[in-house]
Amino acid sequence: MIVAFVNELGELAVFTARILSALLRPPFRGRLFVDEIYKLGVLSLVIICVSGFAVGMVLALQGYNTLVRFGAEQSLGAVLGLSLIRELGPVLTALLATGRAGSATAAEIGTMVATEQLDGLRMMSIDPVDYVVAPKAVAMVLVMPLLAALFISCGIFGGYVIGVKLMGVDAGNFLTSLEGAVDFHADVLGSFVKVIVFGVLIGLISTFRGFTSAPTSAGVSFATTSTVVVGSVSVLIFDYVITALWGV
Amino acid sequence: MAMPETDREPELHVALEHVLVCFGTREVLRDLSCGFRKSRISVILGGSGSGKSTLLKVIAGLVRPRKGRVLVAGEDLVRLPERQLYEVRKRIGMMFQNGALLDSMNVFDNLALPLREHRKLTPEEIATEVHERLEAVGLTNVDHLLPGQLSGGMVKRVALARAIIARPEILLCDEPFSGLDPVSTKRIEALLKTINRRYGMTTIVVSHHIPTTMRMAEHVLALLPDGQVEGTPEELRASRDPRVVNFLNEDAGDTPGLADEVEVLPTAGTATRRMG
Amino acid sequence: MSPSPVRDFIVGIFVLLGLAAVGYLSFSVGGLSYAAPAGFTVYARFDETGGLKSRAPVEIAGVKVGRVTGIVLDENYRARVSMDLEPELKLPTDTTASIVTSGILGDRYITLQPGGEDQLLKNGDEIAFTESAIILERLIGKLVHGSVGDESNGNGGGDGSSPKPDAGAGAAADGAATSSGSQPEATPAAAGASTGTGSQPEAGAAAKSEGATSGGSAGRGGTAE
Repeated sequence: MIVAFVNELGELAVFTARILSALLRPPFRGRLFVDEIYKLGVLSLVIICVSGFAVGMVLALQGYNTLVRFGAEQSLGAVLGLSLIRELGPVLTALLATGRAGSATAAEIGTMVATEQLDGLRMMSIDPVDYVVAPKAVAMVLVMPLLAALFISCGIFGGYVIGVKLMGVDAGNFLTSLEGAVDFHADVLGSFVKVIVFGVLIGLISTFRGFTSAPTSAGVSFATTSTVVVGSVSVLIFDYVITALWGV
Repeated sequence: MAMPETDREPELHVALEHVLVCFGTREVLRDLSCGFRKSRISVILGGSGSGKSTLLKVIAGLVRPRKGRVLVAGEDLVRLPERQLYEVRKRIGMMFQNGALLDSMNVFDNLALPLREHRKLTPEEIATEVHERLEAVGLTNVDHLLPGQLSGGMVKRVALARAIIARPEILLCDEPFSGLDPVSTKRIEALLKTINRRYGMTTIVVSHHIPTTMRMAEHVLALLPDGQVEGTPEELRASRDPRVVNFLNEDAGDTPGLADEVEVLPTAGTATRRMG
Repeated sequence: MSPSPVRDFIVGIFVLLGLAAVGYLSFSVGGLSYAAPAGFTVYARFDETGGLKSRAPVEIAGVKVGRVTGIVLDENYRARVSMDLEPELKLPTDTTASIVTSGILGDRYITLQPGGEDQLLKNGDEIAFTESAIILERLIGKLVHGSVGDESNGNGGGDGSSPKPDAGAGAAADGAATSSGSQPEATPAAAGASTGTGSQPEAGAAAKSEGATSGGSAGRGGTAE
């Protein structure tokens, strides 16, 4: 069990090194890259925005009900902004991206393995890591901060709608408290660091699982499922570690 | 036709020496030595699980043998690092059993991809090359179809066209006749012969389709459960070796078994993992 | 492989949207300034900042006019707070800076109470009259021990307004005492009403304005002598 785990980590490290070396060598595949941003980013946009909005609304409702007991409901903006930016934004975006984009990536590469498309590329002297894996992994890393920023913005908007329009918190107070509490270096930057780490994790895990999947339908299904499971768990673990070590 | 030529046989283009291939603990090919001559059509015959598809992947450098030497145009694939393997593969074209066309792009782009990747050609030159190959396999007006929209026979022909797009010296065909009706089978057979003559490619075909094999092959390698037999189709037919007689009679009436096709997939996958 | 302009366009829109969100979070919410502070900087020294944070807002009459840019300890163990204020703001030299709280447990921020002098504060000037943060626990402690009046009179300089003008200390301390005295009374009312924030600083400010203005001029007179 432990041996298998270490073994797999080793394989993952080699795989990562190959992606990096593929990135350093020309050509730069801009065309493929744009396609991947479409698949991973644009297609995840709806679920990210809707979830962000909903989470912001719930947070505002819960936050208001709690804060009002202490007469501190004017701090709603701060509570909402800090929890969204520091924690919920990066983590929920990463979990949603794992389920939406990560599983799609693993399934796509797994199917390419099963239908010998990757071998086909090799026979055309095209390295599949270079042509298929690297654009997907890199697109994932670059798309994540954008998705997280959209999630957080939608969340703040959702919270604003509930807090200001429904609960009657003063709009100016809401925004002042939000902007006063959130600091770029302490909070926003940390949030982006987190989300980029998560993007690397999801990008690597999903492509690795797809790339090493058994060439059967069961293999593809296992690759997809384990991407979601392993991806989500490692996102949560890394979230704790980053928060504990650097306090963001 | 084969007899007078034996005196001045062309040189070996592909040669395997004492090759051992294992998947896990299972030995798929054991101590296999054989050779394939330049510009000839050779056929690898064998029953299910005889390792004939694996043999093709060994020649293509997709499966690395545990022991032995694989000489392709003088280069030993077993010792070559991955990067140089890609250089050798530029001289090899491979037609996969199920086509292995990239399903995210249309037929034209599938064929144009290797040209765009490795040659500095203008779009017009690429289009000329692609259409020339498509015509060679008897296809027109398929440029914008996606692989999913093609029939089985068309997929095979597009796959063949892609295999020869870069004018390789060696053409490998994995089960070119599987899953085809008799008419399509005849067509592919004729195509392979024409292409072999036209471009002078060393052609190695893996098949379990004995009648077709016997018609087109100039050289046959039969992988039998207890060893292999090489020779011209005539020699095989004339053979008194009980194993050969058995094999030819057994499979003669059989249609390609479903079991075989199921068998091929896991082999391919293990190969993928091995070679990374 | 074949280029599809529509998809490229959508990807472009997506990237722009994402970058806009990143920008909103960084610049608007996060307060990242890409250039040097646009306004002018003034300083103020406080005995007690009570958890005032960098980037806390600076307000006049509830309107935000700037931000706290830094808090450092000076050689006399007092907090030196720097504020970045809007450039068009014209503040008399006898302006008072107070640290107040939004709500009871809310964040600390600074309110400025402009005075009546003709001379204006310039970039890099220091605000002479300050009122430190009120620490709720200490206040409650004093209330419990029934010594609110004595205590605040006793260390009026420390607890209340600027200690620099000695002559004004009495008057200023009185003002401060009034304001801190009003604090516990205002508190229960604030807790009940959702408009608590509004009422609290106003109570402080109202009490202050009399003390501060008179104390301020007195103080200036004191220094002149």
